[in-house]
Amino acid sequence: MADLIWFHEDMLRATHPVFEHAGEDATAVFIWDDNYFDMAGYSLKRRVFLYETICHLPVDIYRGDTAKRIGQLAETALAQKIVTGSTPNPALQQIMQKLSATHELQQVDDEPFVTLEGPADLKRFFRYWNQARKTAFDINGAN
Amino acid sequence: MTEKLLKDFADRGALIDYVRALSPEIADEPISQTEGGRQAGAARLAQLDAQAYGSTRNYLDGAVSYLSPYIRHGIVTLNETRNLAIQQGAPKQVEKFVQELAWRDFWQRIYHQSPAKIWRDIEPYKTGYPANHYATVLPDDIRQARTPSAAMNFFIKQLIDTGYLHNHARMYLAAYIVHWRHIAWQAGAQFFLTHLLDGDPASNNLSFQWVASTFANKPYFFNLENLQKFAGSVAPCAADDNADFDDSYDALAAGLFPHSEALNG
Repeated sequence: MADLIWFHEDMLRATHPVFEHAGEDATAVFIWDDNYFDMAGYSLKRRVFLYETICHLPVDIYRGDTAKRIGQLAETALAQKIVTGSTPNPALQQIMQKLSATHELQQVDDEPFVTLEGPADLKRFFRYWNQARKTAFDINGAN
Repeated sequence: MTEKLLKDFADRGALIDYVRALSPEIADEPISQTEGGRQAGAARLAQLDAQAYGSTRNYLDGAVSYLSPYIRHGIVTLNETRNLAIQQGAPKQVEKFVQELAWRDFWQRIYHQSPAKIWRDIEPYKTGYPANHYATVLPDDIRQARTPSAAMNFFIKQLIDTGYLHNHARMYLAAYIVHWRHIAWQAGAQFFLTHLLDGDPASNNLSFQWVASTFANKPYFFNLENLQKFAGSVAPCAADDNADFDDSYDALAAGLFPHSEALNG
């Protein structure tokens, strides 16, 4: 019943907090999804950069449709849950939604840059900066 | 169970051949010298000079960090980069660099809030033209670095060959595409996303929208004097080879935005 850690392109770091939320015997995987890269329009050099990065991670690489492969791997491993990094990427969000229908899926946030008091003002950068600067010069973005 | 893909290669060339074989249908092209992986990202981080960044960042040969591909894919975090930067000087001395990190955080927050905004005009263009004035297809002479401008061709070639462009070069090329060539920002943004190793829909598209004026109060454009000052040591910026930009800001605005009263006051 080991957890399955699904690495995607927005979280390619072995120290990502995703590991803290998965069991010690969890297996980590990346799915090399040609269709996903085609939809994103990634050139060969972008794919090489990603592949080279993934080779340095403690993950197994499989090829195919991400949702399908992750579902299969979770079933084969009798995974209790799938753990992955949160992302705004709609294509990845859609895959997470699909997987959530059949599996327990946990999204883990990466470490924050700043700590804001109240909701972020995103109308223009300098409005946001006036909020962010209060912790932007502090270690770990926290007072 | 599906077979695992390979992770160990004799050298980088073997890895590149393997990825090329996985993607036989996409165009072959030069592969960037920028290496993937945490080790390469950490080596870049170790070279960070946040103070020098502040004083030279606008110049194409300035002390920029080249961390963007690593930050884009979470290989290096904004947090650890900032933690290092603030050890290199007082807040005032490293402010510009930390602010640059904050731009990335800002774009990501907008992306989280409304993913659909990334490909739509956030606001109308302030150029005097409606959105449907702009062509939706990027012309071949831009794709192939055969435009009338030697500097723009240099930037396009660098983008394709290395997967990297200095931020100021991105602004020049984006402004050229949208304001001189009347191409919708989306077409330029997709071209950048295809090639930039750090290509991120939020940072890339929202920066394009800032240049286009759909996420700013006015369009960004430049003249030859500015191009020569900041890019002259790197790109071919002679007037004869970049005639489109060789004028005052007022004269350029009159030609680029003839229907905008605000820009032709």
